[in-house]
Amino acid sequence: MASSSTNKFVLKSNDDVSFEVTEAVAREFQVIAHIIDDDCAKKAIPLSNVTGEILSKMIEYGKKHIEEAPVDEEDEEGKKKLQIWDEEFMKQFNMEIVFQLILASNYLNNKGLLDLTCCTVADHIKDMTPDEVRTLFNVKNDYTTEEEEEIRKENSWAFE
Amino acid sequence: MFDFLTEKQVSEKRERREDGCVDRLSLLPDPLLCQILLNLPTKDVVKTSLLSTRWRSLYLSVPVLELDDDAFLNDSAFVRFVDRFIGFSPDSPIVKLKITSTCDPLAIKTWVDAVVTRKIQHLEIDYSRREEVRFVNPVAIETLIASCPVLEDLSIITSQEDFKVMTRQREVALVIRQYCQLEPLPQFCFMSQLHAKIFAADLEMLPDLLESCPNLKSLILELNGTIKKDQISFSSVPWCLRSCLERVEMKKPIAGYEVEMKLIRDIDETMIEEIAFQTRPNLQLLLD
Repeated sequence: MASSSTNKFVLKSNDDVSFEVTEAVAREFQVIAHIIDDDCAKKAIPLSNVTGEILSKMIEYGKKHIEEAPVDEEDEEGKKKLQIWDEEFMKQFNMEIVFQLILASNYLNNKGLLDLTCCTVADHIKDMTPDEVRTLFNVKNDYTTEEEEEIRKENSWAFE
Repeated sequence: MFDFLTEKQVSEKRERREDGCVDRLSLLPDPLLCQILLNLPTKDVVKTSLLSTRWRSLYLSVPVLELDDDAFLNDSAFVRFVDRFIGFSPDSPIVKLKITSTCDPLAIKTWVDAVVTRKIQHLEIDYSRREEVRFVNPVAIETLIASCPVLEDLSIITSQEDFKVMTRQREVALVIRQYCQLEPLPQFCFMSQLHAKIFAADLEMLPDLLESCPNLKSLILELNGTIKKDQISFSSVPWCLRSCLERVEMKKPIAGYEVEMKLIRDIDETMIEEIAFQTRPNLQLLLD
């Protein structure tokens, strides 16, 4: 039987782009790991919710986290290196892509990437006024002035 | 960080919104929004309630509450908020509760009682700013001890300066000790760190406490008072000493270096006698 470093699997995006990855990389995504375990990965694995553009980024993330995985819990330097890479990795995306990555990493179940992408969005909400957040994310304010007043009063401590 | 933060693009976005541009953030399902909000301080989380009706009550579903009552006008506003947060959906998990407060201990007891049944992993109650408070009712801690097998990290911080507060610390230790006398402590299988501030007089409960933390990796001991000779002895070696404990740290010795060395030697000797033939990680002993 082939070892997990030589086993290859093909992942296919919803716009018909195929990617060949090693088993270790494929297993970075829980959902795909289950498909492999259930022996259903003989042919290309179709991923109906992910585009080729997003999938290629997710594979890049998965590969990096396999190759540069910290040696153990104590490997602070290794962790730091990977963390810096994560930050750089996220800088290349606009918000539209970040949201697609959140949905895709949730769908394929990669906790690391989900945490990373959620954290990126949170960084843009932090220390912002509600108005600034609305502008950044196109949130439409559908409160009446009275309702808004009521919410401010209810938790006045948070709005001071 | 993102280029869309520039002035020009913000104004472009605003225009597009008026044209009906999609709000991808609010379109995310609740669990994913909560996942995002988990990364924010509670105050920022609460502020999102003002974004739109979609966000009205979402902040109450985030399973983390980290709050200092300094932010509130008075104690009752603080208590009202925490009550509402904890009471909002009584069946959903609360994984972390960290409260710095001077409010009524009974209110805190109610919250601790409530969260211990809701998969709490991190619980931190900081009373140290309150000078007169006494944990008069030990039931909360008893509930905590008895019903929190998933607890990973527990610290109850009390000020160490004045005598009254020290008495309170002793009460905490006494509750655990009384508990040990009544029945065995439950196993805290997930507890990897224990920071115990105890009176030297209560040191005899240490073996029991260690016995109930089979996966302990780090033990920090802060002792107050004088240790009597031969006060601590292990009838059998606690499991964590044999298997996984990697680090023991002694803090603030009052009784002096010699007594402390004796304690370390006791722990250490027990280990060497019992586990010398086993391969296990090095135990690191640190002296402050």
